[in-house]
Amino acid sequence: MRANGEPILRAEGVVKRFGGIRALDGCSVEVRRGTITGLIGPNGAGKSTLFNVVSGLYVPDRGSVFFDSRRVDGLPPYALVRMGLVKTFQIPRELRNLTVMENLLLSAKSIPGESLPRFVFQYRAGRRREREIQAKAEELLEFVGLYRLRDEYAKNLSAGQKKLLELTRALMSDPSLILLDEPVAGVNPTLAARILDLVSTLRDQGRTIFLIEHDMDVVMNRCDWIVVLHQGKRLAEGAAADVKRDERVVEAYLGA
Amino acid sequence: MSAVPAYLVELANFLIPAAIFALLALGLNIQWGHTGLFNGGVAAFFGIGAYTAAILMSPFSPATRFYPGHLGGFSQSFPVAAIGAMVVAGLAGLLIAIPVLRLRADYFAISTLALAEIVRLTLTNARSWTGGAQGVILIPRPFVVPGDYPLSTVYLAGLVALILLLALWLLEFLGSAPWGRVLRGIREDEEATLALGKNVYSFRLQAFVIGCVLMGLAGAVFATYRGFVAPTQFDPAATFTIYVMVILGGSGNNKGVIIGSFLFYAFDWISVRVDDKLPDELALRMPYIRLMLIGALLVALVVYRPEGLFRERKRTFRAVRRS
Repeated sequence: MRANGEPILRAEGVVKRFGGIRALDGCSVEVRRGTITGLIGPNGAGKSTLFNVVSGLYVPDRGSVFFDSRRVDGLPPYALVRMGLVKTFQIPRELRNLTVMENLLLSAKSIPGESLPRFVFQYRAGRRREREIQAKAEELLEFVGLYRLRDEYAKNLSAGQKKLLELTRALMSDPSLILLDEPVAGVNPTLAARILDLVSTLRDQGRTIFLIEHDMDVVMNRCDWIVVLHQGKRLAEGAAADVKRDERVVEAYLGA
Repeated sequence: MSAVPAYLVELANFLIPAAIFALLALGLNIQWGHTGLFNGGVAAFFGIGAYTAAILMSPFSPATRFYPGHLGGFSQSFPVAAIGAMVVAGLAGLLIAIPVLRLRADYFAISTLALAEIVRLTLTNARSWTGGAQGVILIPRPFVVPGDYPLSTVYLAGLVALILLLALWLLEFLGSAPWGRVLRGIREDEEATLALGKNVYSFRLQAFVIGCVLMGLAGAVFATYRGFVAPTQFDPAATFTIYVMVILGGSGNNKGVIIGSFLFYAFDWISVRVDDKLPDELALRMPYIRLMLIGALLVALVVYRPEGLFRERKRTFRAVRRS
């Protein structure tokens, strides 16, 4: 089993309330380095909320989050991206009136030209870095098969291509942990298989994937470790075979 | 008698106000067109710039029985006044933006609109500082040619054209930076840009302040051109005129919004001159007919050509790798 590594991500007793609802109610989860870890659970179990807390979009009301052994809850998303944690959205959030290439360039990190003083006073270094990230973007676009669409406005892509763009964009910042919110929901089977192969390749490159998915075939076949959430808490975790047999999981989520 | 042909003076008197509108539209374009910030207080930053320049440039004018006086007596040159106007308008933008830029878009729009009203009321009521409803008077011009007022207008037009071109060049340069890319990302989807690792708040703040600085500069040009400033010139509703110019020219396209401003002002300019030739009864109604036409134009634009006359340029990239 792959799931023996040290944890890259650890959430401890996380509570997140929205009005009277406790979306997360003392949730503790670990993701081990170098795994594809699946996060499953019924609708409203708190999966997306957990992703938003971990990626810095939400500040938890209680509890703590550790990434690479550093406490990160309350840090803004851009600090987490810099540290190597990036998240994709369930519904693709392509920057519509930017081209595919611009979507990717924007997603890289350490860009001197994003600071106006540095853009003016370190113009050449900025240009050099732009060429570097453009080369990287071209490489990734070829890798995922979107190269010929590089100058197309992102809004003109098909739903599946947008999903792929969402994932490719996340790779631009060279993350060590990638949070994928339903990476193949609503995608045709061929493209879904390609995205999942890509996810496996990323894992084999040494990255860690933490993904939410409702397609049980995907979860059972592709994930090294599975965490089940229910009512804002961790209900169970384990390898696919164990989770599938867990009575509590069957009752709460999988069904008979 | 002036040595300048009348048509040149006429042209200068068209160009200067049009360029003032264009500067305001450029400032709004970086806020709204590039970053998606709905600034409802363009008139406020314009007014702050105009009053700052007015106070810096005008000679001492004591309170009399007929005039409440105003701050000043500094008699500074136009460049000093213009820089002062940009600094003060930029600082005002920073001060208002720090608390309200965190708000959702609609609240941000309302807050800035409220600011415009506060500025107008302050200018009207802080009488010993601003000259009250009478405003600041006797604002000099740069390049005064003794005895030849028309020539000084032509010189001023040249300076203003230069300022406009410089502002355009600067904005195009900054917009070409990766910095500009982040602004456009924020306009498209603020939360996604945040999740992609950008400090959205800081970028919005920068774009907002730069826009306010340009509006302050427009105010300085206005003050020296008109020779006096008064609160009624900075009606909060004027903000929406600038929006029409930006939308007409093409939101996000700097050259487009300049053309949009010139076209819009040309419409205004021509329709005012048509008034003189109309029968009195119709001429009286012209201001309202003009507003109706502007409203119809805006609706037609939004429905049939929301991207404006000149759409935002698509940025393509030549491949850097050989594949």
